[in-house]
Amino acid sequence: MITAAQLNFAYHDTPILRDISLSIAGQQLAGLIGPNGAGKSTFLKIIAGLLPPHSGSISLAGKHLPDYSRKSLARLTGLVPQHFQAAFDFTVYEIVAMGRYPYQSSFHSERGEDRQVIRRAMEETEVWQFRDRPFSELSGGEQQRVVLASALAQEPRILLLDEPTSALDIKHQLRFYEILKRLPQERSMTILTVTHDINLAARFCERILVMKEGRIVADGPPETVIEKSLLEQVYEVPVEVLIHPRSQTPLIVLG
Amino acid sequence: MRNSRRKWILLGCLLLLAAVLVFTPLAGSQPLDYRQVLAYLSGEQTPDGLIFFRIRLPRIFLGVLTGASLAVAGVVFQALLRNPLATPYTLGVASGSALGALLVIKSGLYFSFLGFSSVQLAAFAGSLLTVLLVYAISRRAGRISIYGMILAGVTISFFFSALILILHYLADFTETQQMIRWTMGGLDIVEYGVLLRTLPLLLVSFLVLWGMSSTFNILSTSEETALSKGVDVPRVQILAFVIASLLTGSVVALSGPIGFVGLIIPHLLRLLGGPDHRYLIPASILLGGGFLALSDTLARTLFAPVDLPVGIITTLLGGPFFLWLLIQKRS
Repeated sequence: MITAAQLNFAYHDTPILRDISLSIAGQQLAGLIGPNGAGKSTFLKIIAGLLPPHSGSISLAGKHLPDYSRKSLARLTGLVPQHFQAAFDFTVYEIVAMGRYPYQSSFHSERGEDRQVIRRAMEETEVWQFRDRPFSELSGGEQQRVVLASALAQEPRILLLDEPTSALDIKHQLRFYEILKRLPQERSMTILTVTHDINLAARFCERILVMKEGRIVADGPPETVIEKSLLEQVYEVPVEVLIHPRSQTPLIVLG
Repeated sequence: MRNSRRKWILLGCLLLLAAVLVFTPLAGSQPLDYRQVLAYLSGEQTPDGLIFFRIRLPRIFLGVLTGASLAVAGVVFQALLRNPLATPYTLGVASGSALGALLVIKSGLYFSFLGFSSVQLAAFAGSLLTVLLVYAISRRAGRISIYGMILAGVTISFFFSALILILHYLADFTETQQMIRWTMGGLDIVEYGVLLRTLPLLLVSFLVLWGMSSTFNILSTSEETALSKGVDVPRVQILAFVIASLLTGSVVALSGPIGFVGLIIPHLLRLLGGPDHRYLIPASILLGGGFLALSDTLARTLFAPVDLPVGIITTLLGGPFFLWLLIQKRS
């Protein structure tokens, strides 16, 4: 679904992405990890069409990114930013309903079909019970699930998340990823999430991409990627890799 | 929950506006008899009918159009700048208008064109100049930066204020009086022709902005979120900025910089029915219009036969109301 070919990007003269070529296809949850400044968020923004690449190209569902209109792109891809903010006090339902924008024209309110899509997205993310509450009154974890619901209301085939759980406590982190884990099959979606939490990524993602200094330095299932020498070289700290006693997935601790 | 309440609020605003249009022309320094007014409609040249239809009604229509435009421009600027404290004047439109108007007053270059006075025309030109300047300064590679806009607007405002001070300093006593009077903002008796020639611009603007309501909802989140939900952010920003500025510039040219309408009406309506722009925009048009016409009736009647500038009334009502809102929010 997502194909990048020789992608390059620089802020002023500082190269951020160097010759990235990769493909993420099918129903999967892929995690993108790497140290701060590795270019993960920039890569995500380019896929989301928020930044144009300097050279190289991105294709989504077999079509070049610049060939999409804003609205058709929003029907294909959803984005969950790190921090969602609204200048006014919208209700939870109103925030989720914003996801129907790419399907609507001017002077148009939600039809029955839109309401079904909104409700389904809110039930999947377990926020339906908050629908009439002001968004600002929810906890950070609940808010992030609402933002996810708003992206799902776009009925995207590709979902991009930028450190969605970095500000959440462990309970909400776990709940968020458990919801995320179900989505590729239930909605036949491709999901790419940027994260700093290597243990969560190792437990929930089927595929992990490791980025350093603008390059993809490792790519594969957690069992092969989460490996002591690679992580020590990428993050420049000593680590030990253990095995999670229940899920049998890799688990790292600082060494 | 909010949805059904909004319908009632909209209906209430509509009824208020209708009541204002029917009843406020009857009030004034000379109270009118409605039977005499009705008689005028059937062709009898009653003095009460003449005052109602030729003097008071056009002024009330001007008040309605001005109030509606300022309120809706306030809504749009607040969404565009993602700041609930933005007003139609935040980006310097009022100071540009003032500079234009005061230049004419100082130079004494009075004439009239299509029913518009040279003061009004110069005020409109001044607001256009400000809009162009702010746009040119904050535009980078086909898109406008919100911070750039606010900074440019505020700076231009200060700069124009300095020029205005020079005009004040150079002005003689009569000119000074006229300048101060203009700056207070007030409605005046207008010809129907002036209203009719302004109306198309205002109505088209209202319609376009109303059609963009769901876009404003999403625009008030963040630029990234808006783009990811399918909003063509640069195009929408420029369109909204230009239309809201034109609206503001037109009504400020006609009535001077009337304060607070663009701030309190949107706030009050958000407080009552939430921030959804599909409700907020039509409701602001209705309530803004009704509110300003009503304030103007107070201005005409409170100290009759003295006719206070309505800008004083709106600020007198608006200031305490706003403080009350702030205190409410804190507790």
